[in-house]
Formats: sequence, C-alpha cells, structure tokens
Amino acid sequence: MVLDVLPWSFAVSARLARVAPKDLDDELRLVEAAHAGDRRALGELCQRYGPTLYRSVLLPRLGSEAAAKDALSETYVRVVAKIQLFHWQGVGFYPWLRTVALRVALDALRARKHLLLWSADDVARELDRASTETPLDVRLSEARDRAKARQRVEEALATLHPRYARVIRLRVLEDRPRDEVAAMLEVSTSTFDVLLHRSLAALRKSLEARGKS
Amino acid sequence: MKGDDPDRLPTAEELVAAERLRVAFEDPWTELEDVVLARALRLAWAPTGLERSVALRFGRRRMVAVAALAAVVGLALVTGFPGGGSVRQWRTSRSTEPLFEEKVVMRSDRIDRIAWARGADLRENRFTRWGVR
Repeated sequence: MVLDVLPWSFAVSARLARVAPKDLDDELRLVEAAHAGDRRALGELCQRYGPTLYRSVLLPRLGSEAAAKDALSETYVRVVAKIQLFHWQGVGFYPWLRTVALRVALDALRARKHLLLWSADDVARELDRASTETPLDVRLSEARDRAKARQRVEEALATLHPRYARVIRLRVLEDRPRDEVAAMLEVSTSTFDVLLHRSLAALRKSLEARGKS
Repeated sequence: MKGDDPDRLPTAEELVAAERLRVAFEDPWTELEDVVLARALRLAWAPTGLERSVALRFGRRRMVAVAALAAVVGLALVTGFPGGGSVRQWRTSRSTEPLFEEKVVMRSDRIDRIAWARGADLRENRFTRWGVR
C-alpha cells in the first residue's frame, strides 16, 4: 500500500515544485499572517478558494445551491475559529480547507431528509481517506473531485435500464427541453413523462439499495 | 431493475405520479423527492459556479472588519443597540406560530419554504455580522 502511494506522491511533489512555487510562497506568507491575527490575509485565502470549494466539494455532495451556500458559510465560520490549528505541510491551504468543508458537508448530510447522490457514510469515508492520503494542491484536488462526481453519476446510471439512463442523461444531465427529449426518444410528451417518472424512481431505488448494502 | 420494460403500459397511479413530476420539475421550490434527486444529479454532473457577488462577500473588506464588527455586535448583543438605529440593518427571523390557531405538527412544503427562508435570513445575518452589509 505504502509502495503504491510513494511514487505517486513524489510525482505530485514534482508537479507542485514545477507549477506553483511562487504561489505557495505567497500562500505561506498569507497563512503566517493569518496565524498572527491578520484577518485580511485569512479573507484572501478564503476568497481564493471559496468558489472552488463550493463548486467541486460542497455542491456535488449536498445537491442544492442553498445547502452548499449554507455549508460554505459554515466552513468560513469554522476556518475563522480554527485557523490556529492549521499547520503548513508544503501543499498549500486548500487541503485543510477542503477537510473542514467535508466535515461541514458530513454534518449537513446527516441532517438531510432527502436521498442524494452522496450519503453521510460516503463523506465520512472520504474524510478518513483525506486524513491518510497525500494532500493535493488545489488544481489536482479540484480535478479529482470533479472527476469523482461524474464517475458517481455514471455509476448510478449504470445500474439502470439503458433506456432509463438515456432519459435521465438527456433530460436531467443535459437539461434538454421535455419536448425535445420526447422527440429524440420517439414517444409522445405524456409517454415521456411516464418514462421520466419510472427512470427517477428506478434511480432512487438503486441508490437506496446501495445505501443499505 | 434492468429487467423492467420501460415502455410497458402505465398504470393509473403512474400517470398521476408522472403528471405530478412534470409540474414539480417547473417549480423551483418543490421538495418532491425525485426532483430533488434529479437536481442533485445535475449539480454533481455540471456544478454551477458561486456567484461573484457571493464570492466577494468573503473578500478583504469583510475580513478586515470581522474583528471590529464582531466586537461591536457582541457588545451590542449584551448591552442593546443604542437608539435601535443599527437594528434596522438586521433581518428578523420570526416564529410563524402566532399565525396559526392550531399548532402545526405535520411537515409541509409551505413550512419547508419558511424554514428555507429563515435559513437564508440566518446566512444573511452572518454576512452582516462579518461586515459585508
């Protein structure tokens, strides 16, 4: 396991050294200033990473803009309160910020009443991994989070009848108008409505079954 | 699940549910389980960006003012706002209980909307506390 991780972490370090030493130096200065009580520096760090955190971590896991904005707000509250606990590890501020956001997302998911793509258990497992994996810089981390979200969607659709998966892909993922999707599927709009209902019901059952297994 | 025939004839219940789903898809406030799930799926597939206005709320001006305003707000919470002048900036979250003769115990979409609005008020008040407003 360790042998698997080592070459990869060296590659990451090499990549970081190649692309972002100046950014990292600048970020280290901001972190030191934030530790010294400079709120402007802390604000700049949060402003730098807030949109990425929202788009690639909170929104996919919480499934609604309102919930993700609330979680981002709560993440900042915790960052302000706990900045002294952050220790520089050479890969920037983002990995720590992401872990704080995952903890907030976990709390939010535990309080949710709706079935979503991520369950609280899923996020708890991600948090476990985050504590043992090599921290990634923001670009790698965002790319990985975005890919993971799409993979999760694909995995969910793969459990469905191909026709249901196509209905969801066209109407939900591609956000095509109802009439257009009905024409593409060569059915009437009312038949399409039934198909969409069946598709989403099948998806819900599949996710529920996965959650129980 | 893959053994379903997607094109089998619909039952009466399915027709009703399909119509309910069609209407809910157009309703941004809906809490219909399948629509909530569909929106979550779409946001995971193609996440929207955080609006610039919201992102900037966490910018320099706010953070510079955090310590000072937190102290002022903290003091005001203890001592009261002088003259009540500052209070007008804050949104007031009120209980809806006086609006109903009977105690409402059942969950409803309307109550959910109220809860969502109150949650938004809380968020806005946090921004205010941090010096954005």
